[in-house]
Amino acid sequence: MKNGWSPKKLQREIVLSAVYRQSSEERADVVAVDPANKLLAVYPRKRLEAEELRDSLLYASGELDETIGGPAVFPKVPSSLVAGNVLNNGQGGALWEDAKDPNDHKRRSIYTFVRRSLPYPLTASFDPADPSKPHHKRDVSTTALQALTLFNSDVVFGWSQALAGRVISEAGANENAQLDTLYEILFSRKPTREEKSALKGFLKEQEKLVESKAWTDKFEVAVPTGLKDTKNLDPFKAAAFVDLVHAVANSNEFAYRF
Amino acid sequence: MDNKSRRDFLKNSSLGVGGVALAGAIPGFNISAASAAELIDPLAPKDPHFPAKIKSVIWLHQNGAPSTLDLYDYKPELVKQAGKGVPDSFLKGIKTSTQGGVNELFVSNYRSWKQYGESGAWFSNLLPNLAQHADKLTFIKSSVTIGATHDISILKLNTGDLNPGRPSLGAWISYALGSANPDLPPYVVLYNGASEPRAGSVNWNSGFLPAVYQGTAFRPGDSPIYYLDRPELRSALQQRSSLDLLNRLNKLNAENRPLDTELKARLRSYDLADRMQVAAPEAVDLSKETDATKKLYGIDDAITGSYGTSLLRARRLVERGVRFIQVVSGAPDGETEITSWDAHDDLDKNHGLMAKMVDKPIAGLLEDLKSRGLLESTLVVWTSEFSRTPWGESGTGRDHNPWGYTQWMAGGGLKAGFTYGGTDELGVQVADKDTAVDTYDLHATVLHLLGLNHLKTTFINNGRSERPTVVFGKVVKDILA
Amino acid sequence: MLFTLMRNLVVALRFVAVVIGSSLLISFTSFAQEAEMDMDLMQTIESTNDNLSSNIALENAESAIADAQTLNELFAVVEEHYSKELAAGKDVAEAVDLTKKSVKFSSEIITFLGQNDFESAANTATDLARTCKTCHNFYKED
Ligand code: HEC
Repeated sequence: MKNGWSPKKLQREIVLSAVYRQSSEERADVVAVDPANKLLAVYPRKRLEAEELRDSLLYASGELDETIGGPAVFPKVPSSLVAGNVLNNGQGGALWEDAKDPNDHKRRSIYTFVRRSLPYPLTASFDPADPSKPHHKRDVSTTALQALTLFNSDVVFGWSQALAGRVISEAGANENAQLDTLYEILFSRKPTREEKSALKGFLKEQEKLVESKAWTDKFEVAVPTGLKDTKNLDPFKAAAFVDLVHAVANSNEFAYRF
Repeated sequence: MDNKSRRDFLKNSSLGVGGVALAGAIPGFNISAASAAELIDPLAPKDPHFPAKIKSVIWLHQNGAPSTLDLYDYKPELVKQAGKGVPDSFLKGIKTSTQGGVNELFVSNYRSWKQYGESGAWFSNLLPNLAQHADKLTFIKSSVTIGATHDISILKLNTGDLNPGRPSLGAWISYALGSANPDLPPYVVLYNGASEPRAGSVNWNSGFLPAVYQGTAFRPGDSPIYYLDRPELRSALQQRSSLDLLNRLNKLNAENRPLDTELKARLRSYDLADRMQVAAPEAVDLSKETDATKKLYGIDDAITGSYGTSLLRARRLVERGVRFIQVVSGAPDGETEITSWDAHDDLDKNHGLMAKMVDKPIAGLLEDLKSRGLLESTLVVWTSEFSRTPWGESGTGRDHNPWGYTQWMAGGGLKAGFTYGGTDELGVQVADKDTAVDTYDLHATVLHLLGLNHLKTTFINNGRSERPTVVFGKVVKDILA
Repeated sequence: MLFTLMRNLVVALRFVAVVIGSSLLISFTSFAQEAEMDMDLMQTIESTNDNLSSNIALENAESAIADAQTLNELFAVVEEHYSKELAAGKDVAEAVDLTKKSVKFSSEIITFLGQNDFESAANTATDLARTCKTCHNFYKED
């Protein structure tokens, strides 16, 4: 207030303070003194909420459509939900018909249609607010259904393909640069040495796995999408890279804020 | 600078140097956030309050309200009085105004009755197969509930309340007992027909309990859960090695936070997902069942096939330690006109089809459980949101009756071949009010058989200690073995 | 603690209002007014009953006794109301009976709680709650 209510000066004061500059990571000495973390020396890690998680994945992949406003949209749902589904909306239409405009599938979650009788499956297992009851606080559960959703959904996998494409476009062909870029996009940091060696080891092995698939009758792989130049793309390497991106995007570090 | 962070971002922007948000960071998510559950494994198995009689419950919800006056509750007086009005004395103490009004007593011309088994229980000609199991059943012929719309009374049947927000019985059980099979959810919902049951997932919701305890709906078909199959373009080997990488990354990440149980829980959730990917389709895959078994459940028949499939799946889930299996009756495959027991008109046509759909499969289930030695450790509950009136509606239909009807249970810990309570001579309402069994009493009894005291199964919500039976509920002691 | 105090205060205040209300009821027996009074009283009965059940489960003897005491007094008011109606020739014998039962149950709960017998208190509280249902079946219009 003395500084004329300047938020910048206030932020500067906060940011330069000793408290602010302390690490908020878990430390043995801190835990010994304050096991319940009452003094908040350790940052209480928080899971992204249902919509945050979806939007974050979309954003990271570079796919998020940030259009503001307009009627609610019907993003893609598993085909098994729609196929043979005689559920109707009371006016003869289907309960959920995927939006025709592909951009509608990439809108922010706040624009996803909320149907009480048919929750949007992609976020349904992440404890969204239940639209049929009053609500003051969300649960935070950690379930296998969530893992299945993030790891198996074709939609999420598609975003990982797009993210892989984005990384290659931004980082070029150099493997080190690609891994750095991926981590910067997802976590605002570079991978540690240990992580890098795990990632590189994975790429090598995965490439062989994908290659072995080439000997089967039906050879199809998921490659990075959104690339301008695909001439130099080695499909085995590229598919292995998509798998890597998908695993990293599924990791705890993405689902939580620390 | 190697590690960019929130902190640096703030610093830069406050000094006006960094300008826009740092490349690639995710904006807008710094305000509201979820604080993660601290429990290590909320589904770890827990001991009951006292030794349990049963391990699993199969909750057969007969959706749409069957007329138990046409199935189990034989009323010679009703047959005699058919076509006449209902004497006022029978209507005392009930409110018929919210229903469609009181018409002349009605009896179907096609109905006939016989006694079965040593217990001599009455069954109508609609349930010839189930009748063979008379001596396995424990009838509660004095069931009551609150009559409202189907959706509201169904909610009460499953959660004990007329408004959404309370946990369903299965959720309470998952909460109190945890999971007996680490590869499958402890609470599964099955249904037949093309669409999810009416009134939907509020009926297997966890209400104010943590969401992990909610029921998992298994859809008909080979892939019972969404996202059970890996992305199309990935091979099983690719998937496996990707999971290994994910595991490795998560472990590295958790090393910095050795005390954070939530991170370990999430790590484990991917392991469980990996196992469930195998366990869930296997649990519902009937290809290893013999033709004789399938026939027993009526799976070879168009009308009984889909319901029989649900029940055979239910038995497989019982074998795999699932605690609560809620089976909601739908309609035979391809049937679009009759989709529930709700026979406001043409009861003969409706119940003719619906009874046929469930009769053989339920009889098959009881026989199969018995022959596998599972009936003693399982409870089968035949239940509905309410039943139907002795008077007719639209000529040949029946209206809703919440004042007195029949439900039954079969399985461990009960007096088999036993009937508790009864309705008046016309089947309008419970004969002796002291024997009335409301939803809460049914819930209390099911919990009791599972070794749980409903008064001690509690959860603090908004500072108040809540229990499965709201503030009501008494174990129906007279039916316990 | 503060919360319980406040709640008891609110209940007490409402109780006073109810008592004043029902004495008004005797002087002006307009039907609409009567219904309104009953609703308010019943709302208080309901929240007190919910608290009672919770406090018994939590084994908070002191608060539970306070709740049971409140219910006991409120049902005395209801009993008086129905006794007057019965005397005036209305068909409410069952209601008088059920309120007497409710008064009795709430006294019993107080006794059990005094002995720290939470199990018997819980069972009797369930009986009390079932009495609510029985009476509503007879006398409450939905
Ligand atoms: C002696 C009969 C009787 C007993 C016992 C009784 N009630 Fe009531 N209750 C009524 C009547 C009558 C009404 C309807 C009042 C009206 O419509 O004017 C009512 C209405 C209510 C309402 C609805 C109020 C509203 O605003 O809609 C609630 C809630 C309620 N009662 C709760 C309870 C609870 C809880 C108990 C037991 C602890 C109980 N009652 C015991 C007779 C009774």
